[in-house]
Amino acid sequence: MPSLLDVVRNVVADFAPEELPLVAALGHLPPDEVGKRLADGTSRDDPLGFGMGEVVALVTPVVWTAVQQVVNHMATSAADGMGTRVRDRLIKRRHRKAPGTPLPRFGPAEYAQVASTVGEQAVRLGMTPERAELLSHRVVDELRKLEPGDGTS
Amino acid sequence: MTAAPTSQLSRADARALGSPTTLRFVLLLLLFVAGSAALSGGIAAEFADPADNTLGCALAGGLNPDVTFRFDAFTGIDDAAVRACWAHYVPDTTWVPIVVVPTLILLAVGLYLVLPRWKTRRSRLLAPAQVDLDGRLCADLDALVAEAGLRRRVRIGVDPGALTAGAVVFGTGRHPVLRLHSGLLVTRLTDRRRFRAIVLHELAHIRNGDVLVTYATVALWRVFLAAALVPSAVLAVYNLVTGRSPAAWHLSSLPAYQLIEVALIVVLVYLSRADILRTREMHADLTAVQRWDVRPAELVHEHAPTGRRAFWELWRTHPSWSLRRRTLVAPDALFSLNASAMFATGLIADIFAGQLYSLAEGPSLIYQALSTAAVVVAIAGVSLWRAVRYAQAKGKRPPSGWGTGFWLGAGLAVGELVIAGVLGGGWLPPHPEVLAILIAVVMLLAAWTAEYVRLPVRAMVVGLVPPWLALAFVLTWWRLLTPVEGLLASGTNVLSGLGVSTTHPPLLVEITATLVSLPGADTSFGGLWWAIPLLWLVPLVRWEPLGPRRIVRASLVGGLAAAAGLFAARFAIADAAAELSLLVIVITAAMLGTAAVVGARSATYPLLTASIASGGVALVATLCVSSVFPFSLLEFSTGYVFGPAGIACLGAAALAHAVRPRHGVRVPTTVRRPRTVVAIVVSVTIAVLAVDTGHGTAQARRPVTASVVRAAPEPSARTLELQVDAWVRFGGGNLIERIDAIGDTTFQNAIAEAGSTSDPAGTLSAACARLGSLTDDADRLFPVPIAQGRRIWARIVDALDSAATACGRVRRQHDLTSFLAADDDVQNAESEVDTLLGWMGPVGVPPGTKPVVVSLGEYQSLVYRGVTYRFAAADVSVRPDRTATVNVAVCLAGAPPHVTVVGGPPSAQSWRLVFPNGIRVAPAKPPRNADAPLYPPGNGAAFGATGDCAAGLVPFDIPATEHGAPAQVEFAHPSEPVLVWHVTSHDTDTLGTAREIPGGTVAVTGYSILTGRHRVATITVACADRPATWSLLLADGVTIASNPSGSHDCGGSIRFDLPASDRADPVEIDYNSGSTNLTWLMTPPTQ
Repeated sequence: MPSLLDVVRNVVADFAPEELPLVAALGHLPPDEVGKRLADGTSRDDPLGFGMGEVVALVTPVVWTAVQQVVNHMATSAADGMGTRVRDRLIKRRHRKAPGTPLPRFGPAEYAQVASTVGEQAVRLGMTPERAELLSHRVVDELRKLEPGDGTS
Repeated sequence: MTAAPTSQLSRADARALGSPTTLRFVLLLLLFVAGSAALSGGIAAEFADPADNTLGCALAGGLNPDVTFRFDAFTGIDDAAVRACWAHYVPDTTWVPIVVVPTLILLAVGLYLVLPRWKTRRSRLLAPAQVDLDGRLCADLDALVAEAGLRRRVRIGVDPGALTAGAVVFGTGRHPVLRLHSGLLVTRLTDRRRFRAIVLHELAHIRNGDVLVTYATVALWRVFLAAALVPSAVLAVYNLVTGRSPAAWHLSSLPAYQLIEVALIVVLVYLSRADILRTREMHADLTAVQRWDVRPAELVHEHAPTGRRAFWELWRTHPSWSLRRRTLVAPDALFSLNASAMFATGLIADIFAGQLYSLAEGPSLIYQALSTAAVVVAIAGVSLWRAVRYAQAKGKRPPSGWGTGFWLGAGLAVGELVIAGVLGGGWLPPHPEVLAILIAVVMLLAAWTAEYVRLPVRAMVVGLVPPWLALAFVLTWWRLLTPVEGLLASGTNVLSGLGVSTTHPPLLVEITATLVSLPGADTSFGGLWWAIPLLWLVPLVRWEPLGPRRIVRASLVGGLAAAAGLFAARFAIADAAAELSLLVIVITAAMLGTAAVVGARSATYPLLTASIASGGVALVATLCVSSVFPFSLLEFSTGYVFGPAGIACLGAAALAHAVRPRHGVRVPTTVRRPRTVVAIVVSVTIAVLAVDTGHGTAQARRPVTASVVRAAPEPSARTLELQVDAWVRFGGGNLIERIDAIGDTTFQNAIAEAGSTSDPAGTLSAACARLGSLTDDADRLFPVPIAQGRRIWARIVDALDSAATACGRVRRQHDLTSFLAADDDVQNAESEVDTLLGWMGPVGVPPGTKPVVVSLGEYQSLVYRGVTYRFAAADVSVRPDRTATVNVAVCLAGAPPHVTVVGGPPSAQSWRLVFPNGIRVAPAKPPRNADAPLYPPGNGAAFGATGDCAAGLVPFDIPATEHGAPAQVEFAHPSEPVLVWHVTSHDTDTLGTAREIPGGTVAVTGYSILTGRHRVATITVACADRPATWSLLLADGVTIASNPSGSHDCGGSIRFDLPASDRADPVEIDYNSGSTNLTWLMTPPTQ
């Protein structure tokens, strides 16, 4: 089963191949930390840094965070029946897993959610709506490859 | 490219264009080190001396905390005695900074080395090879490092979590680390030139040596913050909330000022560091552009965001993109004189100087001034140098230096306000206007530097030496006399030294006396007055553009005019005491006039030309009159003429230049260089200075300098209380106990033993040895805070001295009768001690305390400095011989653990007997060998533990004018009662009152007086069960003994035969059993 990293890498290779070194770098981080770093992606006022404000419009964080959000949501729903503490520990353990952890199976609702999140984020980053839609389709396509019978590449 | 002028300048004068930011970093580091030393010392002192004996000793030595400012407060303080007291009562904490500072530096070094590892681990740096998908990333980076030509090996890592297209360098100076954001890897594939520009910008930081200074500052700052600033602030807040240590000082503002200082340091360090780093960023941009052909547009995009609000920009370590863009086009910003940077430099330098000052006062003053001035002048001088050179290269008008000097001086002035507050308390010093002098001096020196830089000189350091030493000269004077706290140069000592009347001295003589308050009074080498002549000697090296002929002409005219004036005045004024001021006034006037004329006529170099010309005037005039005026006088005037007058000339020139007519002035630009004249002027000046300085050094500081005195402020009643209490606690009490012990015990025992021993001389000599160092100790003790007390103490010292002399005869000549003389002397000393204690009053009571009136026999509490005492007056007995005794007791009720109770019970002299008409009677001299126990006990008993009591009788002599019974007993200060016991008719012995006596009671139940041929009084007494003497006191003071035929039995009556000649009525009935004296008051007799 492919992992989130595989999905992102495939989409990026197709959609923004110049970001592949970035994906490779993110692959070395624990997944929960990737989420955190991507969430506060703004630069800091480090002494002897190059300076603030050089935020680049990137596809990678859009795809990664959108899929990660849906996965997190699914994990939370699945664990809803358990006690809060057990659930939190399960979710934490899941996040600590290696980047190659296979993704869960998505349903139509999840696909729709991923597509809309990716679309919104991409537009916010400055992509044209057409290109943003193309990207969201590409992500959903990549995720659909996970469905049984659809085969994996 | 627009950077061309800069690079040309760099080649021409690389040092001149070196950035002063490193110096500013150095200033921050100095502040951290001096600050941690001073703050840790302060904290240690607070913990080591919780009872604040430091303050106690100073109070005992005469410190006057009523005066908010330090120098006034310490006026007249007995320094040697205070230091001796500190050595005895205050734990030595001077070692703390010596240990703490190296420890903090080691910690900072450790942090500096550990920080890079921690940063590397935190950002999970990857090796470039781990993300080198196209196999060319590593090669590209290697090529860029090679292109930058760095001598150090640079470690490169990729921060996977940083999505921005940026990079950072960190690490240590020797092992820098370049951290590439993973977003930059994307930029490398989309915009290779941009990638290259960013990496080279970071490599420029490494090349410019930014890593070492930045992270050394970070490490030292964090250690300084955690180990010195935060604890110091916490302590200040604690003191502020609890009002602990400053309570005795009345200095409520002290901890607040400490907090302000800490806050100011934090803000200043942040702002300065940010400002310095912003400059370094622009330099890194410039380095990349100039050295490695990075195009400005590659570094700063056209569409890069513009700046935030100016206020927030101040806190950022990066300049706004718009400023970076502008700087790359024209690097004006890097060469401009930044007002805020100058202000911060002045302020930080002054706080640094303040920390140095609180570490060590006194002889190191000159080194403190030299180091402070060195940093200030180096930073401002390099900035000015760069600005002038840059303006010259760009063909712009060079800066005048006035603004730079103003902001620098303003920084120093604000720093002085803070320091005055921290050291002395109070919100504003008494004379803040004097700060204008400091600002003016710095402005003049900055303007001088700016003019000097305009000369075609190469060596920057030579040009910075005169302003450096001149500023140190002024700062030494400033620190020594702190004019901001009020300088009262009373010339009384000078005048009396000159044999002149001090009441209405002639004006010139008064000026002479006042001169001693000016810098230049100290003509020794350490006085630094010779720094001012450097201001005109150094420019002589390149004085062609200044118009040498005009200067020489002006010097000769001014100098000869001054000499002529002095010759004339010398014959006109015969007063020797006025000669010094005459010399100084005439020469200074000629100098100022010449400076103004020359300064007004010079378009470009008013200060330099005026400075040289006025120096020439001083030189010519001094040489001309040297044969007429005494050498010593000339030498003494040197400091003023060449020192402050030289600075004043700069001011005169600047003023004249500012208001000069703006036409018709042409300055010759090409003049033959008169080498001979220069050589002669320089040699003669140096010879004169050398002779003077050598002579001055030999004399060190002359007596006139030492005679700068301040009017000692009068201490308030409250301060006197504090000082007296401190005097008793820190030495006085101990000495008094020693005197009492020798007088009451040692000598008496020796006399008793001498009668029964075979070696009486040996016994007495041994007792004499106990006198030991008492006389010396009494002589060395702090002066008694009260003027009358000092006279009494002098008598005590005399008496002890006399006793010691007599004892000497006992030892050497075995003259036993001398011992009696010694004993008499000691008894005299003891008696004087009692008088002294009477003057000093109780142990100390807050002023304005309302006395509580209670009845006899009740205890009253008195809390003083945390120690609670309980006082009681038990009863009053008035004897027929017109003496009275009050039975008193004083107990130590409790003291907090940190308070040491020194000395015995309060003196008997504090008690008063008050009669109904308001007459107060002080205790009488206690009779020697009195049967009854006298108060205070003469065995030197000291209060050691809670519950310790002293009790006994205080004797009084009743004045002949008083016929009634005492109305009150007071425990009093010389001026006001503190505790009052009311002698009610019930409590005293009115008729019918039964009194306890050992073994029973006694009462007078009634009396009758029969008048007729014989006047007979009969009293009826109850239970007088032992033989006793009864007597009657008549209103006119006559005492009548009882008729021996009267019955003394319980319930009997006693008869008195009143003399027919005396018509006075009886007022008291007295009972004396040998051990008990009782008195009953008689109400008007029933006829």
